[in-house]
Amino acid sequence: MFRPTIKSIPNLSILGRRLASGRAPGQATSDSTLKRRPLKKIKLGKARPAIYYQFNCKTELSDGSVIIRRSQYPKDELRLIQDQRNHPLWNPNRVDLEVIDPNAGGRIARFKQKFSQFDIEENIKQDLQQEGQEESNEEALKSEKEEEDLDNLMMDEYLELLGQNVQEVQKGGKVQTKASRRRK
Amino acid sequence: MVQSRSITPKVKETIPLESLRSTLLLARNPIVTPDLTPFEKVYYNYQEELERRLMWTFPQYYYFRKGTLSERRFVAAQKGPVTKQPGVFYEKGKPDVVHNRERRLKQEIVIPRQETEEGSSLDEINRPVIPNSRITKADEINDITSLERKLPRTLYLLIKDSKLGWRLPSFSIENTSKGLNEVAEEGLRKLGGEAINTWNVSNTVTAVLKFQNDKLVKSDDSSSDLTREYIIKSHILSGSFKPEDSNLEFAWLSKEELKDYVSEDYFNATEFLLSDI
Repeated sequence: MFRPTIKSIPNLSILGRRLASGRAPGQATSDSTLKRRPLKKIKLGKARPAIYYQFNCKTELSDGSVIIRRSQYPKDELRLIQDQRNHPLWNPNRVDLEVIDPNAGGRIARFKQKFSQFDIEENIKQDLQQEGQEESNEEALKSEKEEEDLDNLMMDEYLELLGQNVQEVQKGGKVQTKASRRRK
Repeated sequence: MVQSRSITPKVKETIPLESLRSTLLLARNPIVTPDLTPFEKVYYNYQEELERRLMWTFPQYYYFRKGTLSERRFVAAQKGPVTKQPGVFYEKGKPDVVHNRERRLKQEIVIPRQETEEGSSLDEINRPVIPNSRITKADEINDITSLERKLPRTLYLLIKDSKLGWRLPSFSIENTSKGLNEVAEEGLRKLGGEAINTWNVSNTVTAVLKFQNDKLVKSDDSSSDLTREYIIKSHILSGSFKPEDSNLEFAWLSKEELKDYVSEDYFNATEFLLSDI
């Protein structure tokens, strides 16, 4: 068997390298004042542009018109509930439109419903409004205060009633002792 | 300074209001994308196919979790590539399959349709999305008064004058208190009712047409007995033109159709204002 002997292996490896730009190494650059661009190696599998898979999604707007738009989401048909065709922002001269809150019944809405009484800013606003009203008529305020006191009294009595014969629920239970100790 | 002012001639030509008219160029903009020429069609098809060919493999694992029902449904809907078998001659080249994708060709993903029982409430929600036809009923019966005609083209409002024939709606000016644009807008509403929403491009005039005894003259004509029509450009946004007078003939026409309706002189004078799309 005849085998050609390879004498200069490093030189070969340089030639074999796939180069993105610039001259091959070793070429003279004396006549040029420009800096040589750094050689960038194109890694395997990086020669193609990054185009993610996209679907042509037929999107039906709220008024029934259909547009085709591209999306990476695996869906080829989409039906919109609210869009520019039935949103008051895009249709200022139509009166029959309403904004649908897509998050109504969502977590944020439930949270607000639960804790709206602790919303500091709103409460302050309400208080300010109330103050304004108070200044205007003090008599109404007095009767309101009396009513409030009565309510508080009733509430206290009710809570007391609830609190009768109540045993505190013990949580966690007793810590189990080791079996070996129990036997003794 | 005062002297020089007094020297300037005080004679000021008063232009009679009857010689000025405000004309409205009311356009309905295209509703759908323009029709493609055969060349454009081939070009866009080529670009689309090229991009599809260069697209990466669809990351199925990202959108469908392993072992879920949706994943099973998705996998079942796929056609799957032809696998390479030893000792088989492949007419269209040897298959090169990686990650269940034929690498020599574009990847085709089938999205499973959710099937519902007949008569169920989901049937209405899951009905397939079908694009509307670009040719409407008004196109078929050639109803030139309809705004839903020639969807990919710009249409212009034309009105038939008993004396002068088809032309752009033109209005006389009663007094100098109103601008030309206001005269045009009000005139349009007097002709076609209040149920129309228009938007003026500018208060400034787009073009001037000069007439002498109801005949168009050249733009550089400077005779003293000229009637000038100042054209105001406007778009219809919503509503429609419904003439108060049932005898009034009107039409919404594209540039090519307009040519057959108006006189040649009139078309030549207004052609540059009209859109080719």
